[in-house]
Amino acid sequence: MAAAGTLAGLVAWPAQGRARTARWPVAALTGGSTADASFLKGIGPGHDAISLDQDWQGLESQLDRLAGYRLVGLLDPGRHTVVEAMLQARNARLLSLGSHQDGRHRISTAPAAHGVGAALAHGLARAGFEHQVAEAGLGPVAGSFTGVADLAAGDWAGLMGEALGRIAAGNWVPGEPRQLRRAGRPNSHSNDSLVSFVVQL
Amino acid sequence: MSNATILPQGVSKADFDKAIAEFKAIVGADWVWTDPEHILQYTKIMIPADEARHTPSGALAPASVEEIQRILAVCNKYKVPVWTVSTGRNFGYGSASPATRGQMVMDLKRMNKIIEVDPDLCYALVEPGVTYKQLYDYIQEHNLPVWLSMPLPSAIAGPVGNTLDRGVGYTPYGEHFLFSCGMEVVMANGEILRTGMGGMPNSNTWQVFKWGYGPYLDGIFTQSNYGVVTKLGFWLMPKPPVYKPFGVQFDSEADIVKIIDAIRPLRIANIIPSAVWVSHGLWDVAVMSKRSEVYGKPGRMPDDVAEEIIRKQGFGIWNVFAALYGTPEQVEVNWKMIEATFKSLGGKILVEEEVGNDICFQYRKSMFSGTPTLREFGMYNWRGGGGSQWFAPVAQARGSETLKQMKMTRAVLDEYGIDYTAVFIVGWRDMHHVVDLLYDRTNPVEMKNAHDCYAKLVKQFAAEGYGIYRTSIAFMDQVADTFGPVKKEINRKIKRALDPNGILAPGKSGIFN
Repeated sequence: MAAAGTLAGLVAWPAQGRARTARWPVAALTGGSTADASFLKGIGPGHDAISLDQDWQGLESQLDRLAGYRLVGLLDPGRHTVVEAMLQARNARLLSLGSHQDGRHRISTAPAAHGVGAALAHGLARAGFEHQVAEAGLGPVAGSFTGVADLAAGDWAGLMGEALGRIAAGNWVPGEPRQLRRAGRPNSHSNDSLVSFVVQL
Repeated sequence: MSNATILPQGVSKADFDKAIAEFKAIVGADWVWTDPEHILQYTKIMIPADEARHTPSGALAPASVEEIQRILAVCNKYKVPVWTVSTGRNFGYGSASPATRGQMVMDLKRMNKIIEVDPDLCYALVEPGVTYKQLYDYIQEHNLPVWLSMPLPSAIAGPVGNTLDRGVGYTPYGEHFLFSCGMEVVMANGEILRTGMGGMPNSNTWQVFKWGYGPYLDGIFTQSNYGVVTKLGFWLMPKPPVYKPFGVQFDSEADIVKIIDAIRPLRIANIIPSAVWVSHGLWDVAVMSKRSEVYGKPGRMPDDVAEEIIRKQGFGIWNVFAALYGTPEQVEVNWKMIEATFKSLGGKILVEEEVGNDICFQYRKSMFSGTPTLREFGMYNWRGGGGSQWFAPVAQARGSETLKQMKMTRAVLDEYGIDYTAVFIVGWRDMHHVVDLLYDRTNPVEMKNAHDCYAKLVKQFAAEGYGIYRTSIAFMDQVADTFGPVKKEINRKIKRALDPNGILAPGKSGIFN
């Protein structure tokens, strides 16, 4: 599918969509960045929260406990590399994987998460933040999306948290343009380099 | 029908669907994937290349040698190529992604049996999916008096994959292929080859005598695509009575010449029995900090700025690390020589009794004793953005080589705005000059710069006669070319003889049939 250069046509997320019952139990994994609070707030209530220190053994046990969950994460690249290995060993299915730095976002999505890039780009543009978002979709449905706006890093973490939380809960309509609601000022601003992901355990 | 959207080159959708159905009949439907949710993990790379060029058509995970034999029969039937990974942690070299788009990843993670660990003869025989952590835990649980050698990704990587890519560790057994002993290989036609003494019925010397009889074949299964290695034997180091890790800091960049020239005779004579780690201080800073915390400008960090930051953080401009192993008497004798040598050079000697609680000392101590440590992953936070490509030319272990290679490297890094985060790892007679090209993959300009930078480094180093010991999936062809057309052609002839349909990892190390 051709890249979309415009964000026109995005529609607000329907109220019934937000209220839809989660189809998956959701856990959130964060690593102590300044963006954690926004990210977790974006995901919303009703998830198990795990904060990762260097206790890798402890994380192994936590992951064992989370079989059948969808795990939403936001970690620095170093920690993510290790967590990713643990997840792959568990045969986890990866739905979305994003790198975020200095207002730039590069996201790879499986079909169940298609459209995250568009939604993030729209949310940031609406709040007037400078950003660049590239989404590479893998799968037969949505192809790829690239959105670049000429417009600061903004509350990308809150927006990503909301989008990924919906995907994790099974309340995301893949590929359909959606407007995320968290477009205000960030609760906590972060230019840290971070990696976001959603996996099904 | 499969839900595949990417097909192997030259394979029709109908044939691919038939192959997938037959793969599922062999390994079970739960272990064959063409859905994007499973493929996506195999597309995650750190190297400066477009994921699309290395996206697999699917993945499958056999659980036995017999299943691999049957899979290869299907691959031959439908000409479906498979890219084999053991644990798939080839960070900075392509991770688990194939050299070319559309290959099926054959992930051997389910084949994770520790078949044998012999504490008397000090060897192990393992399957490809075994991780260093798994083997380390096994040794600890059984209280076996042996040590492992592992590369920097340690816990999450595995001995088979690392050895087959000719990776290295940091104990006296750190040259992993050198200390391997006996392979089991499934050939493209399904035959099973056991190398060395392994071909003999009832032999009990497979893991103790490397050479067997006739041509020694193990080497052709490393950095190659001539077979699927399903078992690997390797030697373990006996746990030493005394372990004495040490560091030496030097405060001037020009000291590198005398450092290497002093290490060489100590290393060749085995007075220092392990590889010697000599990192530039910016490497150590990068492990412990984020670049944005210490320097905010683009471009390669100027050397004077780097030196100021290095000193401020308490590192040497050069940081030597190695270790001694043996009886108290052996260690004492060798330590006297080493201490005298480095003192005469003006180095600041660090020993555990004085700096044992230092984080950096602790993790290097782990590295040199084959204990898993994940500290080095901090480097991926230096630039951020998930980009890493290792540039690792080989040099003679001579001080003069260091300055020449550093000058060449920095000139190219300057052009592309990449920091000099590097280490010299001194082997018995060689050095690996390992430079981690860290860049931001979210920034298309940085990604292109990192790609072009690496390509130029390979070209310029080759022009000076320097080869690369290992490279990533994006540069295998270019690096293979630097070793000459005759070698490339012989590699191809062997490939054609052993794998006429080209089903095993086409493009690995630049080898196609």
